Amino acid sequence: MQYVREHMVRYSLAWLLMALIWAGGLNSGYAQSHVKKPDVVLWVKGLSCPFCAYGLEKKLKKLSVVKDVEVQMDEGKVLIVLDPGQPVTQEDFEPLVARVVKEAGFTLERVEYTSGHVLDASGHPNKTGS
Amino acid sequence: MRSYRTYVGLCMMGILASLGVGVQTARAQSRVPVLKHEPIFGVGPRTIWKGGIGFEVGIAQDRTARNEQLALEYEILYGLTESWAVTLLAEQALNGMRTVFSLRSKFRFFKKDVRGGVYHTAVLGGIRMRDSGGGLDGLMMGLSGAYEGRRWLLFMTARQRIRQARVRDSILLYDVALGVRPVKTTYYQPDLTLMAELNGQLFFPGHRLLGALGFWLTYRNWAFKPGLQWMLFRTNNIDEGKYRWVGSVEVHF
Repeated sequence: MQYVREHMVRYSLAWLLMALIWAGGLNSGYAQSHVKKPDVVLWVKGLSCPFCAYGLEKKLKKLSVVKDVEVQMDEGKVLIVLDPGQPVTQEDFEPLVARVVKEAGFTLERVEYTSGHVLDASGHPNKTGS
Repeated sequence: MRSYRTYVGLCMMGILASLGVGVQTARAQSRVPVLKHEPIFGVGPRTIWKGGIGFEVGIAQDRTARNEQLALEYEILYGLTESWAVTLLAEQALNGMRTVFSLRSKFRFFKKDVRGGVYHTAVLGGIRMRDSGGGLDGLMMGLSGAYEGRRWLLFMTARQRIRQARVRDSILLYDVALGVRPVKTTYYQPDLTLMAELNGQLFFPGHRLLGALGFWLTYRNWAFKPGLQWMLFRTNNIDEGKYRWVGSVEVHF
């Protein structure tokens, strides 16, 4: 029995060590942001774990107007690149992303338009952030 | 501050109410209670996103003074809404090849999202079928509250299991789990969370308290969750449990 116990503890530590090595190895290469110039920034509350935020990325990528998505956990931001071939108005876009964020289990705090791709109610480019 | 106090108050009231359901008798094995991103031997209030599907395969070994049991567990999880999930669990004991099915549900009735964290509380419910294939074997109900932040996580849960055939085999489970991320990684990096848990089992009469250590290692929509649990304290009428270990892999899509 003592033998089994010792092995259990040893294997647990081995698993943890392997996990740390694996996490460390992958961490070194994938930390860079891949969305350099987002069209829209969503400020989202509740982003605490990457595993749980996966649903948000998946749901946003299903939207036809969305070309690329990047989640920034610590900042509580989601950067969105829109499809340049599909014009979209703020009136249509905001309720859509608010619903998607809610269905993913988070709270949308505000939306920032950074490129002028999204049009306001009068059809002019909307740019609220930098 | 006021909302935080309200939240803690709700958690405490819920746990006390759950305790009030009744403390029953005898021993019962504690299965791997897996429902999304939550403690390894306990339960948390987290649910999957609306329309999300999760699969989990786990292996668990219970070692007591009298016997040893190795079991495989398969689970399918579905998000009816962002706050309501159902899960079908099949547990297969490898020594006798018996398979037991359970249907569980979790409804998150309170959620307050903050920057980089969430306070939330859920009610839990479930039924367990007889291993012979037909009929209801038992019920489970409970309440779980948690704070999950980018660095620290705290879970508190109380569950009551009532066996229909033998009410004397019912048990009240309570869990407290503390988690910490040693390194805060970005969304596209593997995420490691270390977990320390206290898992209590109340019988009538009797009490067993177990300690557990484990971790979650997640990468994108994949999670690996191993843990080791051992006896800390027991009253004289309760069998001595040696240890228990579990390991599971979970994927959401």
